[in-house]
Amino acid sequence: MSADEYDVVIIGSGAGGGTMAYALSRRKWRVLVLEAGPSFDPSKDYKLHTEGWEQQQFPHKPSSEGRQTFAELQALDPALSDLCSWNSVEGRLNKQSRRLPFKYHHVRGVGGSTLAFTGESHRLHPESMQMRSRFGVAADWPLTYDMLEPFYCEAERIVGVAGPADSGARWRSEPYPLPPHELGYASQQIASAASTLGMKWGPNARAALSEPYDHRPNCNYCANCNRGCPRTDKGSVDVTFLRKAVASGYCTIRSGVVVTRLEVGADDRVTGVHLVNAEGHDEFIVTPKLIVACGAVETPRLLLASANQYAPDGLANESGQVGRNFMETLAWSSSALHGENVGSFRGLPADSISWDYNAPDAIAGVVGGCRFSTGVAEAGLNGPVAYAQRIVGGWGRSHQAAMREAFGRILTVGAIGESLPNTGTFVDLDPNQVDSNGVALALIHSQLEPMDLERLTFMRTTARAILQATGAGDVVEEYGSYDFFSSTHVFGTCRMGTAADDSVVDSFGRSHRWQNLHIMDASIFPSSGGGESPSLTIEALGLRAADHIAGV
Amino acid sequence: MYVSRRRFILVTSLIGLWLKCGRLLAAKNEPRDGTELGLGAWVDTLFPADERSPSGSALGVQAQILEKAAAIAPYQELLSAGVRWANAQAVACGAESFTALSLEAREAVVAEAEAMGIRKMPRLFFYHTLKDARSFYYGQAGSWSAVGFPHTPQPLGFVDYMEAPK
Repeated sequence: MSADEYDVVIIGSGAGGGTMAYALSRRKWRVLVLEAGPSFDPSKDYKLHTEGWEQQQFPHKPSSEGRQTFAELQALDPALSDLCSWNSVEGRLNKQSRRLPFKYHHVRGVGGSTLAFTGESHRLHPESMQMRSRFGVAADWPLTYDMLEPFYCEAERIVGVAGPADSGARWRSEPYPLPPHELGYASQQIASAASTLGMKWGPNARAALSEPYDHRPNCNYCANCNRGCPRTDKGSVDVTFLRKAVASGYCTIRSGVVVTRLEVGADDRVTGVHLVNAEGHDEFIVTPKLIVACGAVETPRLLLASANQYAPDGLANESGQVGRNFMETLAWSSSALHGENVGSFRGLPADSISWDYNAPDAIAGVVGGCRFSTGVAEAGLNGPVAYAQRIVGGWGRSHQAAMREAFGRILTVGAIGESLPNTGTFVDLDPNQVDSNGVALALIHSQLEPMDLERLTFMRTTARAILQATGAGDVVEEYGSYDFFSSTHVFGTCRMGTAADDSVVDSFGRSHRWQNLHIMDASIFPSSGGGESPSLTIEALGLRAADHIAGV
Repeated sequence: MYVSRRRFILVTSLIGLWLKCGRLLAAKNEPRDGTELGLGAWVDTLFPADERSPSGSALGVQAQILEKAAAIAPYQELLSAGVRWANAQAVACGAESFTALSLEAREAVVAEAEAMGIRKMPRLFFYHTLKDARSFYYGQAGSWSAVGFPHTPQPLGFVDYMEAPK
């Protein structure tokens, strides 16, 4: 197919772009996916079978990480030193007086950040979708959980989600396609400890196959989903939605293609995209319909960088909301050494979870909930290098003895909480720095508000209490969002809504003004939820939007 | 070119050291062999062999540190200066070189470096070599059985994950 033969161009191939590619190509729409990063071959590029498996978190390739810059972050309050990150080897990890930008964790590649995600497959708590009308914060979703539920089911079937029968606050019209994973031995210790505190702790919904499914093998519990799954049992977008899209014969993926600007006409329609192709040459591709799915940092960057005579403040920014309402990952983890070797380097990451405090009013005196889960792998404490660098320390004979004593005993309780928008947290264009194509970098501003810190304090206190109830010894490492910006889940910078004056897109991700422009990633979330991982919700939104676009 | 925060801090701190210690570093560098030999004894002090674990040098840790340093000139200089310092400490004790010391005597030299002020060259040498040695040592399968890590995560996975470790 030549460039002018596509019915739709999609920028980005992660959870949003990949889902749209699948859902439109199966209806025989001719789809072109433009991906800035490279493609990854799970059997060759992921390194879990090599001695050096622990040296890298995810085996990035050149160009598989974008660059962002950060505005100066807030000063740290000495009264909140309990919220600072530390470990028993290095002491305080942030030795400055201000919060530091660690990283926006993402992957530029075919499959997007799902290549490196843990694969938690969460539905949003229904009450988290009405934060403005119920609590006066963030914005209401322009659709309900009930409207999204059938699409959650469809996304779960495509991904192959393994989850529990108990649906809790999230009603289900059908069971998960696969039975839940059995809890790992280390997780069993945490589950039993949580129950002594009156907490309900059970299997997590996971995009990792508990049985062979859809020509993919079951998980073998290597505990390293975040380093890329070479078996393809993890339901990343490349081996699920995109595999099916390409198999349809109607989807073409071009990797290594960086879109630099969107072009519009006088008729409130996008006409095409300017890009730099894999050979470094400029191209312009005409498209009758455009879907932008670059994530909540890069999507607003592209729209703002596409300002033109018809949209002087940035494309689709008539409301002034593009880049605003940025919500980050409010996270905490506490780790301690259990009294016995529990072999915690094994198993499925985040195999179990407690939703007890997930509802937006579940934490006393705080608006916005959180969830707790097992977190050894997410903390990166599942190999000997990490133990030596962060937990055991020392050197010589005493170090070797301590390593033998400690290895396999780490227990980690992780927590992720609601992130609410505020005026000090947003994404705009860096006035001073550009990428290799001359496009301004995204400049991230982040400000934690008192309510965020109260939520974080609750997360810390509860995580410590759970660890203590396991009988573990002193905490040996804690890491949190108070003194580091370190975000995997980002939201809100092109939020959806019913009114054009305070939102960027409608409930189908379509720009209120630009009728052939859709956005499909977590930038359209009006609120973040109480710690739910966003990929399944993005996929459900994408399936729903594709039905609408295709006139189903 | 993207430079990670950790690498930036390492390079800038080493450049600072390089400028500060100009006199020391102006001396003619030892041949690589001398540095590698001394560094081998140094990593064998950080990771000595015993009945269960191989030594650092048996796993080639010193060679990996030198390979890493080959791309970072200030780190190369730090390694040379650090080994010279360790040798000087040994000579002061009446030995021919650091490599000629017993394990206990080498441990005393390492402990001396560890106890120095954070901006002193021997302390920087100690800090950076220890950090790298930990990664390179435990990054090799030869070190794993002693700590109870059975094998690479794939291709076997850990299918006994729901049971207590045997």
